[in-house]
Amino acid sequence: MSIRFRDIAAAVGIAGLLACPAANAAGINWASVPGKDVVLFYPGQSSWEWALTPTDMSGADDFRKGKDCAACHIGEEKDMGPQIVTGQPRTFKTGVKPSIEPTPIPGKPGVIAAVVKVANDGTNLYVHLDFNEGAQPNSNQDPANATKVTVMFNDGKVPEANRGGCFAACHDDLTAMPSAGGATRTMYLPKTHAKLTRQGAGDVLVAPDQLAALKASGYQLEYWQAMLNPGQPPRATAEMVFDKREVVNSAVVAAEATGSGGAWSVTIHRPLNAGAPFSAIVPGATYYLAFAIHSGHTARRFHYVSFERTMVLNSGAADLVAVKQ
Amino acid sequence: MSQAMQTGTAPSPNRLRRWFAWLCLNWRLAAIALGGAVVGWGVFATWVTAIEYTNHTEFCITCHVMKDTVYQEYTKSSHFTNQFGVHAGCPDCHVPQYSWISEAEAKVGTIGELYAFFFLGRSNDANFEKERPRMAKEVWAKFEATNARECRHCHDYGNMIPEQQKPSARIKHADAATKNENCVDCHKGITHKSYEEKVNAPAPTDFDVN
Repeated sequence: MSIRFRDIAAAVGIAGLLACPAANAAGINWASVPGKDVVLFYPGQSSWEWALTPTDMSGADDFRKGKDCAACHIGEEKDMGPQIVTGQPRTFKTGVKPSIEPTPIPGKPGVIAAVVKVANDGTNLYVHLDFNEGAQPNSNQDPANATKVTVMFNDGKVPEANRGGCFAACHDDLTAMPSAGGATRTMYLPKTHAKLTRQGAGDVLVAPDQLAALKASGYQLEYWQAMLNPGQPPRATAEMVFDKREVVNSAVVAAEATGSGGAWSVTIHRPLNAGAPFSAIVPGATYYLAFAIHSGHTARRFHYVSFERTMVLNSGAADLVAVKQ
Repeated sequence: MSQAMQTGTAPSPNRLRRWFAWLCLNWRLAAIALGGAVVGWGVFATWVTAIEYTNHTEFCITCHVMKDTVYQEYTKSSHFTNQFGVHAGCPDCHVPQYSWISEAEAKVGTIGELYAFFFLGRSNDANFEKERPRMAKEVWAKFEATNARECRHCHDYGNMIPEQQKPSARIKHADAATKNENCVDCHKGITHKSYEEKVNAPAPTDFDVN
C-alpha cells in the first residue's frame, strides 16, 4: 500500500490540530469589540419538560406555538434568578407558583451579569466574557473547580437549542433533577431518545440507524468549557451533547482567564474549522449560543444559564457579531 | 332640476297642491313609507339604546357570576386603577370598537351566555370555574383573530416611548413591533386569573417540540 502525499498532509494537519489547537487570544483588541449584556440566572429544576407543561410554566403553550424562550424572557433574568435561588414559592401577579429549587444553597446570588464579546482572526473564533460572580458560598460539589464557564454552540441544526438554548439538553431525569431517581445522567438532546415524557426520556434511545442519521445531520451541541481557579491557568474542554454529554476532543478548545475577587475575564476559543464533528464557522451563517457559569464550586444544575443568542461571523444581523480582527 | 330647487326658494303653491293630490291618490303607499320610517327609527333607537345601556361595566356586573369572579380580579388589575388614572371597562376590551357589524355579532353572541346561565347551570361560581378554561381560550382566540384590535384601541407600538419602559419590556416590545405581534401572545392573565391557576390542565404527552 502506497502512502500518498495527500494522506501525509492530512495526517500532519490533524496532528497539528490536536497538538496546537488554538492561538492565544492576546492578538484580539477587546476594547474595540462591542459588548453585549447577557444576564445569566439561576434556573433551579426548570427542565425542558417543565417548560413545556402549561401548569408548570404559563408560557408553555406559547412556546409550543413557536415563541422562543428569549422572545418573552430576555430582560426578566434579574427577577427570575433571585426568586428561584431562594427555594421559596414564586410570587407572580397572577398567583403563587411552587418552588423549583428543593435544595437551595444559602446565600447564593440569583444572577450573574456578564458582558459578552465575540471576535475572530480568520483562523479562530474567540468568545470573551467579563463578569463578577459576587459573593459565592462554597458548595463543595466540585472541589477541583471554583468556577466553570461554558458555551453551548450549534450551527442551527439543533432546532430545540435554537429556540431554547441549553434547556434543549436539560431534562427532568438528569442527575439532581426531580425525576432522576438516583440515576446518573448527563445532558441529552430530545430526538436521540425514544420517548420524552414529563419525567424525561430515561435511557431508551432511538434505533442505532436513527442515531447515526441524526449525528450525520449535525444534530449535536458543542460544549466548550473553561475551568477556573484563582491564581491558576484555566483548563479547557470540548465536549459534545448528543445522546449524552461526552468529551470528543478537548484539545480543540482553549481558554485564557484572569480573575480576582470574583471578577473574571475569560476568553474561550476554537478554530473556525476544527474538523468534524465540530461545525465549520463561516460568514453568512447564523449560529446559536447559550452560556452557563458554575460558581462557588458547584456542579450539575446548580449553575447560572443564559437564554439563547444568535451569532454571525464578521457582519450581519444577530445578537452577537464576531468581528474580524 | 326645478328652478325653485336650483335657487333654493320654496316650492310654488301650485306644486304643493300637486303633491297633496298625488298623496291623496296614493295614500296607501304614503302610509307604508311613513310607517316604515317610524318602525325603522324605533328599531334603530332601540338598538342604539340597548347597545349604550349594555356597554357599561355596571351592566356586566348585574350578573352576579361576573361580579363575584372576573370583576373581582379585574378590580385588582392595572386596567381598573393605575398611576395614570386611565380606566378600561369591560366593553373596552370585550366589545369590538371599530365595526358596528362586529359589535352586533358580539352582542347577539352573548345571548348564548344567557341560555347557558338559565338552562345549562352556569348560574353559580363553581360551574363558572369549570368553564373558565374554555371561556379564556375563546377570548384569547378572539384577540388573536383580530390581532388584538381592542387592545390596540388604547395601546399602539408606534406610540410607545421605549426609553421609559423597563429594559425587559423595551426589548420585547421592539421585537414584537417588528413582527407586529399580538398583545395576548405575551399578556395573558393580566386582568383576570390565568386559568392554569384554577384547573389541573391535562398533562401534555408530547415533549418533542422543535
